[in-house]
Amino acid sequence: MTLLGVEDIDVVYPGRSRKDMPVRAVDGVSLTVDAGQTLGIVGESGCGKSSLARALIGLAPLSRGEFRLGDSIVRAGERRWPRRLREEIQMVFQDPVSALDPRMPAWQIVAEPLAIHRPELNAGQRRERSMAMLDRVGLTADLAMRYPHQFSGGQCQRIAIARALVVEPRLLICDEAVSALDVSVQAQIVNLLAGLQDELDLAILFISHDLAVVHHLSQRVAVMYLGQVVESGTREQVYGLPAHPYTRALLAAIPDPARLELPAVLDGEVPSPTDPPGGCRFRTRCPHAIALCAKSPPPAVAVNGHHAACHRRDELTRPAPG
Amino acid sequence: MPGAVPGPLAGEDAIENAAQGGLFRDAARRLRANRAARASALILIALTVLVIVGPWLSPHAYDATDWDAISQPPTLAGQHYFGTDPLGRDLFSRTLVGGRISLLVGIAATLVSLLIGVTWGATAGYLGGRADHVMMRIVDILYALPFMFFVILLMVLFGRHLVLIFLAIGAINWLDMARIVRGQTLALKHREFVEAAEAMGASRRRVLRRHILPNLVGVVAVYATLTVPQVILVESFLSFLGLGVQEPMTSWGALVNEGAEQMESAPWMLIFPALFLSVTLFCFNFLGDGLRDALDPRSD
Repeated sequence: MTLLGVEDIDVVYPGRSRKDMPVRAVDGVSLTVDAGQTLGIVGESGCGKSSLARALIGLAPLSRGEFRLGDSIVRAGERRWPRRLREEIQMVFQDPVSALDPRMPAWQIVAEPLAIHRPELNAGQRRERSMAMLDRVGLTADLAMRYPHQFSGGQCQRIAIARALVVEPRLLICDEAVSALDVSVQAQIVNLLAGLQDELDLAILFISHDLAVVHHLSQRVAVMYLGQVVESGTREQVYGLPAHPYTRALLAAIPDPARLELPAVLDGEVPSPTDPPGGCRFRTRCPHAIALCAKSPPPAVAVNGHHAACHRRDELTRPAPG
Repeated sequence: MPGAVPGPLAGEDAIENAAQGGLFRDAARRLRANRAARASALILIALTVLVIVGPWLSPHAYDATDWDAISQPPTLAGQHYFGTDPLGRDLFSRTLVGGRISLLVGIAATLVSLLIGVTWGATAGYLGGRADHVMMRIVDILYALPFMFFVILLMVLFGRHLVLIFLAIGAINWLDMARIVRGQTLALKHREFVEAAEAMGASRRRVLRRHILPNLVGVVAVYATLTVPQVILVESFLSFLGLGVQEPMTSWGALVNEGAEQMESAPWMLIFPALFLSVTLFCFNFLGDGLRDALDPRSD
């Protein structure tokens, strides 16, 4: 059952002055997330994955398109958000330390969404629920009185997760939520998320540049490049039979201790989103680009629910190395 | 003074904090543990009590002339503990009475500038865009207005009054406060915890009160305690120009001015008011540092 449906949205940051070109960080993205499932979004930095997440919680301008979550719809240009959406979509940010107010003890940080969305609760009840939620993410009551600077990065991220989940959202957005953590701590947080997802029937939009973590956590995966989704499908489809040259390049770039040769790396930089290349956006870095790629943008064609936007998909698709 | 914490935080937040152990309860505990700050607070309280009740206890009125004791050095015998001035007025009484004016002006004008400056600066910084632009241009325009011209205008329109001195000084000082607070707010606004609060649906008012203001308190507390001495000095300048308090009423600033003129013939006229003034300024500075540390959870 579809929980979140995103329809053809753009996120455009206006230029600061007249001379500045507006930046189209997200350009015509559509995707869906099923209830209780995880959609992983991968891509290089600057590909628009964070802008997409921020648009869904109202921190970035939704310039075109619409999205719906359950019965609530948000269309581009609407200033007022359905209040329920503020409750049903919650986010965990990348930097666990700066995402927490340094002058609030942990229990107060977690109690804040309750103060906003559960006005019927009194202060004591809010505190109780906050403590229970902290316990659930693995922080004992004696830690609840401490301030953020007294916690490790992993503990801070647990607090952030508790804050996000205390109002029982239906969709949790994790924007690079484990990228700033040590690998061993990453594993703990990822497992915590997976456990909470089962318990709470939570859908997760998991944004990361780390393909291994996304593989571990996601049922479906979308690959973004320069503001567009270039490929999306089930985890097995995208990782097992990548249909877009960019996805193949990303997968090939994972260092593999079993293979001795250096991973293949794409040449060049991501073009500026103020002035993206015409036709296929990946053509400037694609080893397989032909004349057609410069002429028209490739349509996202679906084969068995596996979408990929590449003119030469049929001739090039082959199993991923390794 | 514990009262130097900005007012807008009072109300339900304060109650919630007091009931459950939040930032302010922890801050009070840390402040009590800070010896310099605690001593300063005690001295300031003692000074306040002294300037309020002292003049009643003194055997001489502050404006009475003692013809037998003109320019007399401090003595216990004639009960002129701090000596007298060339008009035979008792300096002990005058210092305490002047302290009433100086402390009152210092604290009241600082509170006025705190209230307006913090509200204005935090609102401008947090709203940003056009509101910020308009609000800060107003500040610029007021800056451009010559202070003396403004004071003289007020005096001409409303006559000389102590309240006008508060108003005039407060009206100038909040401009600095507003600029400082706006800058800090701009920096805070883009921190992720503020965005997180916005994303969870917190109203602007709530973000300002729960996240921006508590994080501003450190800077504001220090700046406020620097403002008190500054205001006391501005008042003495106004008095010197004949725009502040008038004879026979006096203030520390005015007394220091008189004392400086008589420094060689009657040094006690400078020493005693200056001592009171400096001790007060020191205490406010220590208290300000203590407040800043106490309000920062990282200082535990």
